[in-house]
Amino acid sequence: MNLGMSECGQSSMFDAAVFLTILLVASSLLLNLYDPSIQAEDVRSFQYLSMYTKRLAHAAFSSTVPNASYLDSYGEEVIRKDVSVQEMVVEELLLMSSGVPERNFVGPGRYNDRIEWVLSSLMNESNFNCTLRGELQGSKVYIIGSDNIQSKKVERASYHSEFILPEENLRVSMVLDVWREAPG
Amino acid sequence: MVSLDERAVAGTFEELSSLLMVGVATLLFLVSLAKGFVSYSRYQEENDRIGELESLCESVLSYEPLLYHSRKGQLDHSKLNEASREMLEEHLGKTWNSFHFNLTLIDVSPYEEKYIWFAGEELPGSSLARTALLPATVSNQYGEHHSVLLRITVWW
Repeated sequence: MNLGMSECGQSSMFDAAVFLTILLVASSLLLNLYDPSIQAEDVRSFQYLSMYTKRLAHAAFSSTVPNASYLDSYGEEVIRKDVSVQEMVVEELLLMSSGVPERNFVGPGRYNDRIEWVLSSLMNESNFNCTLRGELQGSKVYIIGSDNIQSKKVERASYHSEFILPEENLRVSMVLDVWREAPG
Repeated sequence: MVSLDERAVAGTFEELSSLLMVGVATLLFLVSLAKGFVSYSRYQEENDRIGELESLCESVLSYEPLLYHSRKGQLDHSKLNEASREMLEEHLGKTWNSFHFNLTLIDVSPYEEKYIWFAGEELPGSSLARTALLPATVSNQYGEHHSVLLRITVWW
């Protein structure tokens, strides 16, 4: 038998290097694919935030406070007892639309202070912030917070409650935004 | 005819290093497969636990014998007593026998009179526990709707 020599032969090292490279790529893909928290965390986080916002809105809007006050258009103090957050928001919107300035609802024991108290006590141990606004016939009023979260990078869920006041035939909306600074 | 000379390289020099590379690659792949499997299992387990806690929270908030005018998330203060506590424990205990739980009602309203209620078991000293805080209200016949937090703790 005559064995000839050729330079076209492939080294087994080359095969091994190719095999190593392929498995390295496969391993890194596998590690990323099998880390589902990367993809699922956002979804789970948003689901939780949505559910939390809904529960918070239900609890906060129906909660009452023993007393809350505001100054009417003549500067007289009006005190309401066992008034709910929803009633305070609606009354404030109606009064503001009739010319009572926003500052008449601000201060210790006033409507805005009481509403903020209810919301902050319900959110006490969470790491969320909230904004509450009311809308009456298209005009928006921020009861708690301001619209500056629009410019921030936040994770946010909103609860929108809308109803019609039969006596005045007016459409009223309450929007509760619950948010936190987005990580990173 | 095969001739012998001294220019050949022993095959073992190449084959051993190739074998080493193949071995390392296979080992890396198997390790990442195992790591992926473990992290996926942990994630699934964690997800199941969060799901169980979430279902328990929903069940408590919509448990009819505790509700005020059947409104979800709005508890009736006159129903927060020993009898309803036992009913709730029995009801939830039958449904979720895979874990233990307790529930504490914390009144965070500005009213002077505070409602306090507890159901379930005491949390043992060393347990892996998960806690959820649910916003809710407790209503009474005077038209007061107290804002409350329901602290639900589950452990396995």
